[in-house]
Amino acid sequence: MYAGWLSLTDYTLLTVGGPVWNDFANYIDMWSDPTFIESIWKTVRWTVSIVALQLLLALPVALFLNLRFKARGILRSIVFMPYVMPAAVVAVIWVYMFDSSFGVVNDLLQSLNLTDVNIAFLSSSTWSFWVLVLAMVWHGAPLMVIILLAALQSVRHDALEAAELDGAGRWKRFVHVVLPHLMPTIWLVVLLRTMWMAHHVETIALLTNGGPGTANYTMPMYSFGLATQDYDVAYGSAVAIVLSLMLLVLATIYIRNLERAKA
Amino acid sequence: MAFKSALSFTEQRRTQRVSPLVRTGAIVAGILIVIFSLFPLYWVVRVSLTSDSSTFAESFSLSDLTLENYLTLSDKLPIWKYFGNSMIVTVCSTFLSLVAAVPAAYSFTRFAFRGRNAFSKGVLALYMLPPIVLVIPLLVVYSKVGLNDTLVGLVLANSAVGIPFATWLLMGTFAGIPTELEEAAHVDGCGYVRAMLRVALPLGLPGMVAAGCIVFIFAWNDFLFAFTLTSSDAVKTLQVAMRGFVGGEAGFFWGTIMAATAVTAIPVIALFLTFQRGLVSGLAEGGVKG
Repeated sequence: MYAGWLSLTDYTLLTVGGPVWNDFANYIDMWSDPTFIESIWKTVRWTVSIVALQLLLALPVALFLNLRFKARGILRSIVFMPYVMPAAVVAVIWVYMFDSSFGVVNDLLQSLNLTDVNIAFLSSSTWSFWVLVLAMVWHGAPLMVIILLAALQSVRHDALEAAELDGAGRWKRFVHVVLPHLMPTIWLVVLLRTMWMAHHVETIALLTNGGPGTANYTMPMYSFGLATQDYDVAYGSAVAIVLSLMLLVLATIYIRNLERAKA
Repeated sequence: MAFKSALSFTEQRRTQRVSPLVRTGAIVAGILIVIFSLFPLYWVVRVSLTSDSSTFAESFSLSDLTLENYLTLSDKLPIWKYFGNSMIVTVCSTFLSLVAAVPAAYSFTRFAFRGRNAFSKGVLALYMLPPIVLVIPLLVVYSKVGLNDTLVGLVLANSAVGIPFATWLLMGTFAGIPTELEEAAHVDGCGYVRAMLRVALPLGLPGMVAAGCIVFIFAWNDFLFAFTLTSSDAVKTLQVAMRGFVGGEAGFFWGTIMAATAVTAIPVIALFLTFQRGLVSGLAEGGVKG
């Protein structure tokens, strides 16, 4: 609520006196602010890349972990472990691995003869985006695996049995029995992850601080940068409020689906 | 478990007639998954156990391993102070979240009162609120009331996230406990409070442990609040200290940095390995179910 009020003022942390109403100036000005306009596209790019990659990775892994084999318990623990790691730890690790002068990734690429120069991953605006995405996929995909695995475990085995008796092969059983069962969960988890990724700041802030420059300024990152570097809490709030309103649409769909799933 | 019986039919038969090719494929897939998940962590451990002089050595042998980085860690930076700050904030936030969430979740699932539905929806909405929307006004309010740069402020901020999450998760837990059990307790002469303490809480304990663990992990891992709401070294948490290492700006060797990284990660990893089962099901429920 207070964020809403702040966003309508021209208050900064350096201002003497309280917030002053400024007739929606923040909301009007933002549409002629190129950094803001670009941040919308960057938020979409960031969110879609991550959610898609996480799902593509998590679904086969969840199916695999649902099989019966000896080391399954240990393997599950290993797979889930990245999720509990602090974002700051993830950031330190990935910065180190992708370091231009002694990172292990550059070593690896060179020993495979894919490149003969050290690539400065984090100071290139294209590369840094993909390093961020990779770090986030590594960090976040386990949650998707957990959720999908939980859904897989409730697949009715009599349905699978019936399909098998009808002569359906493994692939057909997956497409016609397992996948339809998973669809509501996939839909929910995609919505939830989309919301979380769209407002995710920590990984971006920690790895490159939105940089190089403003190359990775998604909306929450821009808002964070405004508040912590420029102390422009009013404009920062305005950006955050616009983001929230966009996410509110998704949240409404999510809650509707959740209630339908419960009923 | 239901899971085992559900699988035993199809999967057991499948394993009997599995071809060596599929078997090998599965093992390779398993190894790939392990490498993807663990390689970054392996790297932390390996570098943290290597002395600075041999970090750049071409070859790597087991005899190079040393605890030197861990032993000298506290001489180079006040890591245990940061650790203590993190621990105080985390433990207090977890405690506060549970103290608020347990009665809230219990009453949401047990008593019909006006606005109950709106309340529980509000909890869900809070849970989905972008943290950045929360953090900016907190920054302003805190600097007015003098809570900025204090551990108390961090505890309150983390609880503001922890309470809705724990409430939501525990609503699922309490909804799964049959009310008949408490009604039986009423018949035996228990009041509402005693019925809750003696019947519902012990039965809901696994859910409370899971919720507590998850809130603990979130609070421990928090960077956004700690970075925005504090600035001085006296209240610095490990996560904020970690930030100084990104890009090596603080001028430490990687061995030191990775040892500090391990210290930051160990509490949550230990917690995860101890309470895995409850934690995993809690996270799965928190993600999709109601």
